[in-house]
Amino acid sequence: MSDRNDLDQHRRNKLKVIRFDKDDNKLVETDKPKETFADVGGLEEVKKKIRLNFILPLQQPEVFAAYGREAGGSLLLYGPPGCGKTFLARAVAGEINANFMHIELQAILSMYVGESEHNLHDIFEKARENKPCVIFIDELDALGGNRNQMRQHHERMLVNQLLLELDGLQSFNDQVFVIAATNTPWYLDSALRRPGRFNHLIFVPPPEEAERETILGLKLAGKPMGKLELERIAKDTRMFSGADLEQIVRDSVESALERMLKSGNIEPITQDDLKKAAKNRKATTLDWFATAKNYATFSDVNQDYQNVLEYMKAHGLR
Amino acid sequence: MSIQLDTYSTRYERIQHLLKWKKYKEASEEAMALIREEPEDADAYSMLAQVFWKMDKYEEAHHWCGEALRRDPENQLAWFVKCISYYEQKKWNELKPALAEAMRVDPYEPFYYYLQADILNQKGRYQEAKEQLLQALELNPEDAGYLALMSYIEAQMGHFRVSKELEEQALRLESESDNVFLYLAWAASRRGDYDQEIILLGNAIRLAPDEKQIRDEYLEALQKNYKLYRIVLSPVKLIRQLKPWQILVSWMLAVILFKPLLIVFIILYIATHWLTKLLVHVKIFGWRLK
Repeated sequence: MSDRNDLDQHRRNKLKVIRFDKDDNKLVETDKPKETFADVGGLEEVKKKIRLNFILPLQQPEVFAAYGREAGGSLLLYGPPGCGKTFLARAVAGEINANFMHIELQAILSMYVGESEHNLHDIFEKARENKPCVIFIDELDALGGNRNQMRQHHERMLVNQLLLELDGLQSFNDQVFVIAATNTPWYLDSALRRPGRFNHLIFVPPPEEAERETILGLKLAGKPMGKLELERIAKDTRMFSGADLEQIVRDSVESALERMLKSGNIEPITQDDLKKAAKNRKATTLDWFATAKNYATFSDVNQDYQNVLEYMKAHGLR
Repeated sequence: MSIQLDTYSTRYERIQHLLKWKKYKEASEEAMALIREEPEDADAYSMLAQVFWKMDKYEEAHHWCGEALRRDPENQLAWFVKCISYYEQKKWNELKPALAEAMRVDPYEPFYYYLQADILNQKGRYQEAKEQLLQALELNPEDAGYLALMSYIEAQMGHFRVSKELEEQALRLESESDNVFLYLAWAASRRGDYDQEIILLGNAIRLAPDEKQIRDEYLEALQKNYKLYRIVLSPVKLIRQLKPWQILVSWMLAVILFKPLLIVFIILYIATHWLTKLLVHVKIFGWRLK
């Protein structure tokens, strides 16, 4: 057993994390992220789906084959900004025994007509060469916007190229997984949502109270602190995203630094610092929910966003 | 030199991409970077103005338009952003001279005629609005937005058949514009074609559920699904076809001859309006506040 663990660890150390560097205009390798699912607070349903569709099929392919399930597929994470979609993707890279490619679409865009499509194709080809591989496409709405709204032919070409690559994965059909993230799924071209492409939608909501307390703890770790009651701050920060909580911690640090400059001593972050910072900030997710509610109420032909309405109802959001 | 040009056109393209994706913060950063690189380039300033206009930050947009026009008094983009910002702010006094100058600088821009037509339409000067819009259509005959506005103006003037034809033309050209659907819906409502109004607004709201005006219009149009509401609306339909003096005379006669019935009708109209509003609210939002 320990030999197997050693071998597993040795293999994991060999796995690559690849991203497209826009300054060098090429694919570069980076260090494998240290984050794993253990570092992601909450989102149990999301983690369960990813384990079932991505991680376990690689670990136990014979079991899934018995059910006629192939390893692979794609997943679309959507939700308000700053709630952990990208972080979750990094945790997948840390968790999964596969190579990981992180694509930021703004990075692959080029002013030369046709080069963006070429860059995109290169990325998918690289993924196929490095199977098993997870491709994470951040800000999918930047690429896969509705083609009907695109006036320029070359913009539509990029969406077409993405559709081609996704369908290409189907025909190769082995061990290349695609996770995409977006704040605005309603802007996506409907063709991206067809079966075999991004037809599995997962809503990534803001952290719950317990998760907020955990996040605050993680963000404050290693900083000089007084006696803090994080559960109270977590209670007062309903609907705050992870990014909002990080901002609160930054604001508190600033208050402590200001005191330090006056006193000349290291000043710990106090409960009052956090309370004041939380009071001065509003949850940035509320704007997203206001928009999402309109799309879910008036423009949700396929009933894709009903769980957003249910979430809003459960949390008393109008 | 070619490297500088490449960088410039790359940034310019990126700004346009970012605007299309509604990533305004990133677009403003790119535009600021462009200004730092090309501090005497009027286009860089007018692009930043364009970004602020898209963000509905009109004062900033005007400021950067001013900077662009200081460097190039005939910068077309700056004048365009200036005019459309005044229009959206409903600053008609400021818009008038700006529009005159913009049209002098760029006489072949049909959008300026469209703006003038829209303003005249709002003031009830339909014939003048039509004349302006005809000029816009001469410059760009296949713009669905202009055809939609023309359909609305013709409906206002009582030319229902022409209005309907223009609606068909507009829809053949463009089926993914919330603005086109909105104007056509108003035209349909003016013609008394409430079923078509609901269909058109349904399309508009599917495309732009985030637009408050479209949401409000759609919910109001849904009230017309109820026959009782349409019945109490029918006198309103008739009144719209009358001239102002005819409305006044009819009102005076109605007060003298039918006072009790008139009061009953007004009460019935108000009650029907609120009852159908409640029914629509429950249908769309359920039994909860919006």
